[in-house]
Amino acid sequence: MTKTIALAGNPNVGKSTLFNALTGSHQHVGNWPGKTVEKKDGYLRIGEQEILVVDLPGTYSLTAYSIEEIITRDFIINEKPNAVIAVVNAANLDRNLYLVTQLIDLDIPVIVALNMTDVARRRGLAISLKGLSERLGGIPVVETVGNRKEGLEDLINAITMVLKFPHTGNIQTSFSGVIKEEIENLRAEIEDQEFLRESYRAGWLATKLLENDQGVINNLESLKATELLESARHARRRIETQTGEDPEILIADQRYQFVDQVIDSAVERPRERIITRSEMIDNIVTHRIWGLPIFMLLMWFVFQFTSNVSGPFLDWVDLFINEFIFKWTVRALGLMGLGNSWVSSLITDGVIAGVGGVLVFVPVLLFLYLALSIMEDSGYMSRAAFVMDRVMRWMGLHGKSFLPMIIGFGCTVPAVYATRTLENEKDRKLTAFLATFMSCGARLPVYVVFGAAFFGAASGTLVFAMYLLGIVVALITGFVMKNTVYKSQPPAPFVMELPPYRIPRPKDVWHQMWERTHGFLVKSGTVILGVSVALWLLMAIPAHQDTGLFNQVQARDSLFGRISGLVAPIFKPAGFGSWQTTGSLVTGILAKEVIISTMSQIYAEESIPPGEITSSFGEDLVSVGKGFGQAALLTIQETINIIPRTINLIPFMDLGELDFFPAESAIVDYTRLEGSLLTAFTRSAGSPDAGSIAAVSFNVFVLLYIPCVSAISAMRQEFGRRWMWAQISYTFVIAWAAAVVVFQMGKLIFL
Amino acid sequence: MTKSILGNLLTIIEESSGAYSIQTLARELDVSPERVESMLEYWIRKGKIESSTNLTECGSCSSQGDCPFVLEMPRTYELVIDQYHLSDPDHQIFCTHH
Repeated sequence: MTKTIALAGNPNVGKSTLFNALTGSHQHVGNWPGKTVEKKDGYLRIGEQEILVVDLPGTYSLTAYSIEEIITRDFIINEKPNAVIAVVNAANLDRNLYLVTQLIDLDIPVIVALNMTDVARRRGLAISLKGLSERLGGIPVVETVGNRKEGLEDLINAITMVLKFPHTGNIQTSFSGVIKEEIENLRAEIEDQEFLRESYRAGWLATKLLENDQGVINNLESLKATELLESARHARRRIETQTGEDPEILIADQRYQFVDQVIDSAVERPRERIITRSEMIDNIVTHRIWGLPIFMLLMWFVFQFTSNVSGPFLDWVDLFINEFIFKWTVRALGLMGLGNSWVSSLITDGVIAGVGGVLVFVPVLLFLYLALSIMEDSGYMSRAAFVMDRVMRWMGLHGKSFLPMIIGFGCTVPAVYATRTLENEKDRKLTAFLATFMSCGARLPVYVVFGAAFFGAASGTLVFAMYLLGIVVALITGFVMKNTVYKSQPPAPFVMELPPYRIPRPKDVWHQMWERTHGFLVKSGTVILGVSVALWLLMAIPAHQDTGLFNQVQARDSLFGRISGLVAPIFKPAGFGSWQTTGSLVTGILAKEVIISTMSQIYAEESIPPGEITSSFGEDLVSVGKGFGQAALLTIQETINIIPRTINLIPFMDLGELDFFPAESAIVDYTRLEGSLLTAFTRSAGSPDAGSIAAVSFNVFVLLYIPCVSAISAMRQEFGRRWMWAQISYTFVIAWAAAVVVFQMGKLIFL
Repeated sequence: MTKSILGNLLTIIEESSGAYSIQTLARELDVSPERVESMLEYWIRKGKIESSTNLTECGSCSSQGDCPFVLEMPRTYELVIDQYHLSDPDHQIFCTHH
């Protein structure tokens, strides 16, 4: 008769790898009868003998809570395999041996396959196979590394031995006190009844009855074992009275204690440091008091790095697109006889100004994503959520809400979907609502261009202030809503896995940086290109026949200019009531990057057109290459300069900064768009200082106003039309009010 | 009566006023972090705790479901709301069913 062995173990311990190694190509894959869980079996040939090997579903225990547990348990009890191979992750015995104790309780021959021993060794664990075997009642224990097929021969030898001389371990003695007493009493009662003795292992059945296992109780009811069930009920009550705890919990607890004893006697761990390096860092980084300031300081570094360090490359890309590409495209169009035609205008004023205006910010995003990826890969991002939990709770919000909000720093859309991890519907809606205030990557170019134009080297501070303001507005909104319209239960406490700190892997960091920037590039080539062309058309169509002809009309007299001009007065109290800014904000609802592309198109008209070409294509190319080299050097300079700039935040500190090109940097240099914005805002606000305040007010509005179309549709999809309109209305009102307060208060204080 | 470690674990979480890390819980219970994870699994099976990892799908843009902006966030364990609030008479009024 064919003998059967079963493979059991926790999920992800290499059970399937070992199954494949044992059975080779002799496998059959199907489903467990009546279940959707996959069943795999195959044959192992040992000499002339063919043994059926069944791969059981991965499970942590043999209780009856999940379908995997029930399948595994029923198979062992009903099919009675000749032996069970318990596949165990040697690097995590604390977790894996719990199941082994339950398998041994079933009174069947068990072989422990200590898998992943290479990982355990790397962690400094020395496991005594003999010691482990002895503590587990003498069952065979063999070392394996499934993916390298190491230890396979030892395992096959152990199988041969167990099939010849079946031996079951006995660790029932692992129970103590009242649990042990009651198990023994029930065991004796079970062994006295033949029909039960034949169907069940007495010790296992006694334990299950004390655990109040419903599956087993139902079976016994159908077998009319009324007396035994009554005895079990009394036994459970006695335990509860004596200990004040559920017997099931006590049984599980004693198993854990037994596993502890086994590990203590059979495993030599490296001389343990009382606190690991990660814990030492966490003691500071997640400290109740220091945690938050450290988080703020790190964010400060991130935005200094993003806006200042990326500056030289931003200038270089701007020069490349708006000078080199623009100049030589105009020249090429001229040579084709298309100079001054609508085609030329579409390409230069539409596509290059619009898409090019946004592409200029690729270095900024690359540096932002570099900083965020380093924080993520090092393990700090999890700590940020952990630290913010205290602030969130203080505001009455769920600590877990900050996880989607952190995602919102990249893009609002996945942040809205990430709220699905919150169980409470009200928490979900509120978190999605607040996530839109987190400054997404698409808003960053706006802060950077205004920061550079109005605040020079302090532009990083503007960017940091905007991100901080987003968090503060979200928290205040959350606090108000949680105490008014969304009054609900206090958030349930939670536990978070904090991964150990590690040095970020360049490959992973690069991958994340590239993937995120790639998304931006794709958007530039699709959404922004489309909007740029549409906008060019609207700016080429005269609002009235008296104002000019198609493509020969002043921008302010175009259809776009006139419509924007109608809405503009709304923004007058906020300091930016021009048709140009209003038009940019309207198109910005499509995608926040479009604010910049629109401004580039509008102000392209007002910029000085490139002069007559005096240099050759080759000379310009050399100049572009030289500019790249300079930008690289300046990037190093700006990276180092973050240190004195941060130290200079301390009152009375004044450290000097590096300056690789003193003569050149003495001249304040702006990109074409920055220069146009500086002039336009100064002119509309009345003075350079008022212009700066209006610029901050504009940025506050961009931060808080209506999310982009994709985010709005995500809100509608997740929470319905009503919620979407509430979001649109609230964000518009709050953004307008905040911008007005900033401008009016700013004027009162600074002018 | 000495409470079981499993019982202690649940009590600590129930009575905590903020987030706990696995490492802090392990220190408090004087067991390994792996043991804490294993015990949390036990309470998940018993339906007292639920766990969640971050969402990895979005699919509303060109990333087609593999959104690069979704950060890899840690696994969290949370008391099941019904169980948590039903055990506290003050909170019964807010009990939700899911």
